Amino acid sequence: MANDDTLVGELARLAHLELPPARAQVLGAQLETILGYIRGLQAVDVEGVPEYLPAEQVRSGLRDDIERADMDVDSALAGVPLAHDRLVAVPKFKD
Amino acid sequence: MARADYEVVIGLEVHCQLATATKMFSGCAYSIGDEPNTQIDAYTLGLPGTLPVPNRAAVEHALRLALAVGCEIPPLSRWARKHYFYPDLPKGYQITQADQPYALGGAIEIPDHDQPDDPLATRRVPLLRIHMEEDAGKNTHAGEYSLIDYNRAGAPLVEIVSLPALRSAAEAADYVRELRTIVRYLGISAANMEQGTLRCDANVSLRPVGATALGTRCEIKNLNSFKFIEAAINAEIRRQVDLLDAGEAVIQSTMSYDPGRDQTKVMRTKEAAADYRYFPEPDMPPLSIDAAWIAAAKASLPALPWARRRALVQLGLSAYDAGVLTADHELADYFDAALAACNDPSLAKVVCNWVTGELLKLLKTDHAEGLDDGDNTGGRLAGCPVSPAALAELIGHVEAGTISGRAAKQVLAKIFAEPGQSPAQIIERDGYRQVSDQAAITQMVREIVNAHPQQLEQLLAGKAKVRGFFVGQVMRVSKGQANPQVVQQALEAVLEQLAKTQEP
Amino acid sequence: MSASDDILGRSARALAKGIRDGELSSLDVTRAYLEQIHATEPALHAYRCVTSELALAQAQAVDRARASGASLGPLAGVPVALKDIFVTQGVETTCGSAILAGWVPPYQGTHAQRLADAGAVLLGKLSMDEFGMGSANENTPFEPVHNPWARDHVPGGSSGGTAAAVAARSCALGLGSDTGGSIRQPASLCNLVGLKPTYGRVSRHGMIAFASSLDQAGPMTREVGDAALALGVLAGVDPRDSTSLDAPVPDYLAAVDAGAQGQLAGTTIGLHRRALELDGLAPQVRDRFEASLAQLADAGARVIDIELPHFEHAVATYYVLCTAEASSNLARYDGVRYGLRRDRPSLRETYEATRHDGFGAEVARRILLGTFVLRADSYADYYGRAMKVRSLIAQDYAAAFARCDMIASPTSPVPSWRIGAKVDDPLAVYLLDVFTIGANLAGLPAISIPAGFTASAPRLPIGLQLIGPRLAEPALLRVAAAHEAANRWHLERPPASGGGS
Repeated sequence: MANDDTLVGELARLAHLELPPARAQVLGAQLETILGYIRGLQAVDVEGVPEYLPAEQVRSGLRDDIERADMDVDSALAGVPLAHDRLVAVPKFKD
Repeated sequence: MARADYEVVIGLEVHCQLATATKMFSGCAYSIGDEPNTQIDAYTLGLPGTLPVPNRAAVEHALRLALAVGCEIPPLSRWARKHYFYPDLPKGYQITQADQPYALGGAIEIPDHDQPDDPLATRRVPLLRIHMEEDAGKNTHAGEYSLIDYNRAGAPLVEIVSLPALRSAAEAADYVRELRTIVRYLGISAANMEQGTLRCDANVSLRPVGATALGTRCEIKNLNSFKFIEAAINAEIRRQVDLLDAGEAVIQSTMSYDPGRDQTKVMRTKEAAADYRYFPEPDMPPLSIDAAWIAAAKASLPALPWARRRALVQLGLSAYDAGVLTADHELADYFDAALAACNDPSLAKVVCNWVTGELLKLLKTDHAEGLDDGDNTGGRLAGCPVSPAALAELIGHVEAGTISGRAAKQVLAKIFAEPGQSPAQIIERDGYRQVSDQAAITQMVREIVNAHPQQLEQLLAGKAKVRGFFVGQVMRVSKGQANPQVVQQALEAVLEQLAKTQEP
Repeated sequence: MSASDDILGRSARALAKGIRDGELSSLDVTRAYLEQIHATEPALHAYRCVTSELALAQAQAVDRARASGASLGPLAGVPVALKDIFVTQGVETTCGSAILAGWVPPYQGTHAQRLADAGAVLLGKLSMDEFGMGSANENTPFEPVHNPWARDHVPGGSSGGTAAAVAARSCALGLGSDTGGSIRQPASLCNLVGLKPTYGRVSRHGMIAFASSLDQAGPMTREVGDAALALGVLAGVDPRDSTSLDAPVPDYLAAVDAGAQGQLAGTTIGLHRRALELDGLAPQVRDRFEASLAQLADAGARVIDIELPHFEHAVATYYVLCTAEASSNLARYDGVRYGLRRDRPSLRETYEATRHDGFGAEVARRILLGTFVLRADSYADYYGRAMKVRSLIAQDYAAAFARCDMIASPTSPVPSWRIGAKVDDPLAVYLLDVFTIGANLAGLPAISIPAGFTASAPRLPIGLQLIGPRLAEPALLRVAAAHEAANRWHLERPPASGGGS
């Protein structure tokens, strides 16, 4: 794990990505370069501009409350990395 | 300071699972109690390439709730993603609504115990908002593994968020009760705490009496019964009083309640809280609820609990009876239907006594479910073999003197035992018709009086209790069919005659 | 010319007609393509998997259907291949990532379903940059793809496998996806037609998400008519995608046939001249672009200058938004329900090891960047601000389209480059998206078409891009067809396709 005190370490913790120190250093530097470029956006005057909404919809996009099966459940469960009976298994954790 | 020196401030977040055939965002059937991982589809499992499509019925249910409690409905609301990693959360985020929920404001009315003279007095507990979201799966823990069932994942929920406006644990429980009654009236949720279709989190804080700023709050998670809502909040109040009295600060935390010890304990503090990285859900357009939809949903709203209670009190019922009848809208509907069938509004109290007394007693024996404020008050009338019209008919027979009240109870029990029979059929078949023929009853009384000279002597000597013996004998001989009132009158007349003949 | 050369030389549209008319058998066509795959794959690595048996079975079904007199779909017997971002029931789908290696979808995506319903024959799945993130097809745990025009050069990305396969005639048409140019840029680098439709025109159900508000599926073909044919099959509302548009699907082929007459009178083409002053624009690309524009003017189009005031902010805006959405969309890859799993003693370690081993460097970079811009502390300054700039960019296009029917530009500022040349400078590669990402940010349709080759060796393709207003695909296809009718580049065969030009 990277040192959580660094920005990239904190991001990796949030993103649940293992980050060996060597990789953290490279990634940290690259992120800084990219963020430096992105900060150019701070120069844009966005006063009073609304956040973008994808083009207005011509229909409600809602569906009727009707069952519509789209897969074979057992074949989906067959693809689960670790299962016990029908339950999906992970290392024990505390709720 | 003593506890009385602090003001308790409580806000509730109540999750209510909506009763739809399919899930919030996919056409996957869902019902409680199925085999693990049978109620899943590609979306439920978070398979790559799947997309959420909102369920119109779920939105409709949520809309009706919002309108029933007086929320404002913005023309456009948005879905948002809330991110955290948890095995029961298939996509690594939950689709919910964040800064633009579909419903704002509104209020839940709870009984106002500060006005003991007016049992119908209420206090409005204002809501912050209601929003829709999808549920997560369920975890169990066995040995070295945790096991996940995704059946519940994606089930439709509404979360009703109150303002911090409740003042006691009892009020909090009242609030959840009222809310439960409303959603059941609307028919949008089973709202059963035991089964998890109604779930409650409570935010509790204290402040010195008179202070305006809110104290630091702690959130108690997963309160799954009315008993625990009250107990946990009271335990948390005790904990915070102890902290403050000891001069320590309350730290904003998420708490759990341990019923065994009757204590709340810290699960995590705010510092350790996740950054959920909310952002607008890009997989769905904003949700548009237009004026026409709102108007149609409004028109579909039933009369709500407080309105019905007030209407029943207007009919002459006590506030208590009104409360019992309206705790369950089906019961209230039943009452209304039975009273209407009686064609006589002055019978309200009589009908109420039959419904809340005999009928519920029989239903309880039948269904083994209570009429307390426990969880299973809904659906009691399902399969009730006595229709409101039949009950009205039965009451009509009593009122007309065709049968006695006692006989009527037996008739009712017989209809339960033999569904499909009408009161009239059973009355005729089993000879419950009351004999009110004065001459016949007088004849019967004479015969009995003559047959019991000893008791007659006692009675004439002033032993009034013996009167009951004679009435009982008449009822026995008449197999209960003699009209007790007529029997009393006949006995009176016979005794008077005897007295006259004995006096010279 | 051998029978096989005849088959491979035909457009998809001509193949469909030949099969419908009984002049060709679907089985022969499929066999010719499977042989071509066999011949070209060792040099190109365009395919992730080849579904020979399925293809032959589907081809036989088409032949049987024709023999029985059943009506055939518009793509009956046409051998197609899909970028591995498209979910195919029963056929491994990896999205170019180790985290999905071996994943066999238990459900069918809309694209595979619609193509099958139209009678298309599925040849296999095509390589891509992992999760669509890349411009060179080098961000992959598998073999990088080579450009059929110059084997030591990249095919572009992220739909690089699709571009290489279509260019090498190892499929008759291919399906790509485009989040910031991933259809158009590889089409440009491989001398193809690449069409990114209006956002919502084609369903996203069954297309593995990279950035949901930007992703759009579209055809990659050798000729404009084939793109129109495929779009007609793919377009239309899908009840499984609430962002899909239910606008009527026009006759795209009619638009192509109209354009092929070569008459563009009445069409106004906008030119954003300031964009041509970009430092990174290769002179040869600029020359070819200007030549193409002159051709369109010769055909009767009017060319006017337009302004896109926020043009230079598009790349930054795009990389905030696409990484934000990607960090979210890729949260589901946790080793719990499907895909790669690295077992560790604790749940947390299992997550972290799975995602570390499953994601490549570019994906990890974008997940971290996206996580950053969505954090509570940075949301307003990054994500929120970028969504506002996105509004400004969309407004710029809307204002431009009040004056013109479409906007022309180069597709990629540079032709293809040598494999490995740019792998250490992610920002430099991001900047190559400058011409394409505007259409994604504003949800607009855009097409890249062949516009000639570099004059210097190796001879590398150059593309012309046309961006139109929402749902203006017919107009784009019409102008593209007119341009195609005036040129013969689309008929050239790359060296690595086994035949001469």
